[in-house]
Amino acid sequence: MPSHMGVQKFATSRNAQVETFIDLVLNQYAENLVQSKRISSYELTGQRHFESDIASDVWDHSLVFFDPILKKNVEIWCQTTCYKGNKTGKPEPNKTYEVRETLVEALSVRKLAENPDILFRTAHFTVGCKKYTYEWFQAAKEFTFDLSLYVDDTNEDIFDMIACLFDGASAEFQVRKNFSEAYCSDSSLGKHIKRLIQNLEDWHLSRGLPVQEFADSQYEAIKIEQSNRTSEIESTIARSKNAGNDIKKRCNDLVHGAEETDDLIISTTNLLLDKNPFIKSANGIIKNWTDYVEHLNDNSKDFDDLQSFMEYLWSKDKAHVLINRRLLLRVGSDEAINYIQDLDIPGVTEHNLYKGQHSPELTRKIIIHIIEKHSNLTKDGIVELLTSNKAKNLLRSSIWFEARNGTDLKPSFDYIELALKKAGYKITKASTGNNKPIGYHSQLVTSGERVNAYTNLKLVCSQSNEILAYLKGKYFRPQEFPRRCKEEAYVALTLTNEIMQNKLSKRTDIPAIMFVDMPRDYSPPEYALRRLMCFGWYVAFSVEDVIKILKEINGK
Amino acid sequence: MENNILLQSLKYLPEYSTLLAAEGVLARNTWEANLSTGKALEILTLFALLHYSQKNSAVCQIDSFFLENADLFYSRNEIPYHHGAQAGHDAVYSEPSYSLEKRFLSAVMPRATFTIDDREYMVFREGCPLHLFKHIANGGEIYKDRPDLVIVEGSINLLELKNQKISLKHSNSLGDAEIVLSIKNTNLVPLYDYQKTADYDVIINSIYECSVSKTSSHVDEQLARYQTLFSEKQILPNCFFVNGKEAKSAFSTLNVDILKLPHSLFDEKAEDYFNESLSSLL
Repeated sequence: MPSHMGVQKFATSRNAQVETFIDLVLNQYAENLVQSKRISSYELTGQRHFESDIASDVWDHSLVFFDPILKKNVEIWCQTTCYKGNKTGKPEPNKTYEVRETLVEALSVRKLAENPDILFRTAHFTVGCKKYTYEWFQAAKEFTFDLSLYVDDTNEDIFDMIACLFDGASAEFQVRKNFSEAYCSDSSLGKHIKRLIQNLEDWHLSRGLPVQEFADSQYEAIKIEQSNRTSEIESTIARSKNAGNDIKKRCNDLVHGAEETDDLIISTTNLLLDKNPFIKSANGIIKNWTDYVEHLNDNSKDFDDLQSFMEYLWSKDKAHVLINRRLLLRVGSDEAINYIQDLDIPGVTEHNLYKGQHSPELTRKIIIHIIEKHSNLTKDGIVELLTSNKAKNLLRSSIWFEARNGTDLKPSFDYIELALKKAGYKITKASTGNNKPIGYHSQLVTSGERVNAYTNLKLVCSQSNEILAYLKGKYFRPQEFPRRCKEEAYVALTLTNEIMQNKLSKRTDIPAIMFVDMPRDYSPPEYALRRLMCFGWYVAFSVEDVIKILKEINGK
Repeated sequence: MENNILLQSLKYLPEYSTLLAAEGVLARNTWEANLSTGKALEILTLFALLHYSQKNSAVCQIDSFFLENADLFYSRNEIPYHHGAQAGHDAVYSEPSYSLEKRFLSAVMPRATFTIDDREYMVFREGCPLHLFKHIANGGEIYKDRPDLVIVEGSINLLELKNQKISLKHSNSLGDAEIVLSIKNTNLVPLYDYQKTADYDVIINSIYECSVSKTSSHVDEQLARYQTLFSEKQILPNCFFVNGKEAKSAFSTLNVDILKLPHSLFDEKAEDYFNESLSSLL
């Protein structure tokens, strides 16, 4: 299967260069402070670890110095984010996860501000197109970090500019020299560097490193939640060891023919197959591969040219569209797949690429895009590719991949929903009616952008339609457990609180329950679970856990 | 089995008991690893080299840093390198067992030095930072080649260790280089400053490659590449191959029976081989 690693490697290299660039900016800012005799020395650290009872995060930079005028030891911890942008200029929804993580890191680290001997501040640098993510992030970030700065250029690619610092340079002193030359020059990059340093100096020297009070207010809400629920939080952590039910894996195993006796797993798996007709269809085609080969060979004879045949396969070969589209996009490529959303064809999104109804015009554009990617493709050549063993293997790996990773497939969530229905509760969508789950960051937006309600949340109601809880169910892979907790933490915090007179207060008494599905023999990191709960979630590992929480909180 | 190797090694190498009996994750990863990983062969080849150099009247010394931090003796001579953060990079920070400063020191310090008459040599393990610094300071690109053992002419003096910087001086018969390293996690080689005298170069006398699985053609190609990369003024380093399998390389090869470690590195055949390989230094 073509690898995604090429894209990842490029992104890693770009991010690494940007991290070094911001490090050099901070270093120059600190050097200027030394030269102007404002401070006598400083310590700039990269990749600094912050660890607490609710966090284990890596911060890109920390700058530490004693400021004799402020009479304080100053610690500025910084994170840097790259927004690569895209040609369509539309926000990239997948960035939301990273955005939430960044905000949660920024709140968690405020524990360091509790030390009265330190003037602790956080700063965030966004390098690249700020419209690459939803606009609410700008507002949320400004209210969550003490300082938020942006670096982008309307005329040139900012990443190309930064990359120039690394041309032919592998050692720190070589890059530092290139940076100093840029800083002293009138180049575009030089202007960006000067502006960043000016912003830092203005924040520090003119305004005395002001704190973002709303960030403190958010951190306070987290502390109150922890203090109010200490014993329940700690007992949940104690209970979490090897507490998983591995529902997602059991459903996947069932898809691939394993035996299962749990009716709920069987019902969940049937739901999963209904929701992803591709898996059902692909399984059928793998079993009857020769029929598919024959079908392609027969149909290709009806077309005179490559493009019209491929357009037929893309949009009109109704019974096989889900298969054909996946194969057409992948089968001819031995190289890395670019981000699907970066086909840069207006109207094509990650969500409609495989299953959407595409107009003849849109279909033509997609097919031309595919043909341009592969030189010397012929009609017979595409038939050969689509009927090759490689294509068959691609389908097999797609089944394997999509049964686990499909964005629409949530066997863990389906399972808990079915179980609660069986236990007599009603489950409804949370995004309708008066209790729409909208985060408080919607109150921070000034640009007029509408913040959507959280999707993927449901309401648990009693038989008399009384709302008992928000519910979410999710599979937490061990490798990603802390990240998932971090990302979800922001959802509960912003869902269960609201902004009243610039302070945060509890918005609702309705609990938010996270049904955590994970492998059976796994004990999650305690800090990750504690963070999930301190930010507002109640955590359950089994159906019984969910029912217990519902009964304890609501008395029902 | 593996721990038995350690016990037997202590008998052959009582002078290195502090290092052999090191406690820590790095030493454990070496002695507890399966023989097929080649880790035991690599470290024992290093000890054998030191052992035979002493038998040949060299004055062999281990820096006090490694005697006090014996576990770090098992680390590589590779500068800690931060792989740039990926988008939404992992929250889990793998807490290293040692401070960055200690990891940097163990990366630049030779595992041992030995003096023969007035000539000084250093042994580096899995990498030679002095060569890497020279290479990139001259505009070369970062390379990933890390020979298992490298014998380099000259000595290193640690000049200063403060303000998150390590300053050191490498001196040999051609001149000196003063090297300042930033002790930091970075995706660049953290070479803060590099000054050298006009004729200075890094003279690599010998390279030893150990393996329990490589084919001889692979090793031939690998050692030929090392000779090109690590040669100085057209003088090629002597290359040696300690093979846990039976095949011979185009380069001088010692075939050792890994099931008979450590004995197979201390028998007559091995002694002859190491004496021969050291003869160019003596």
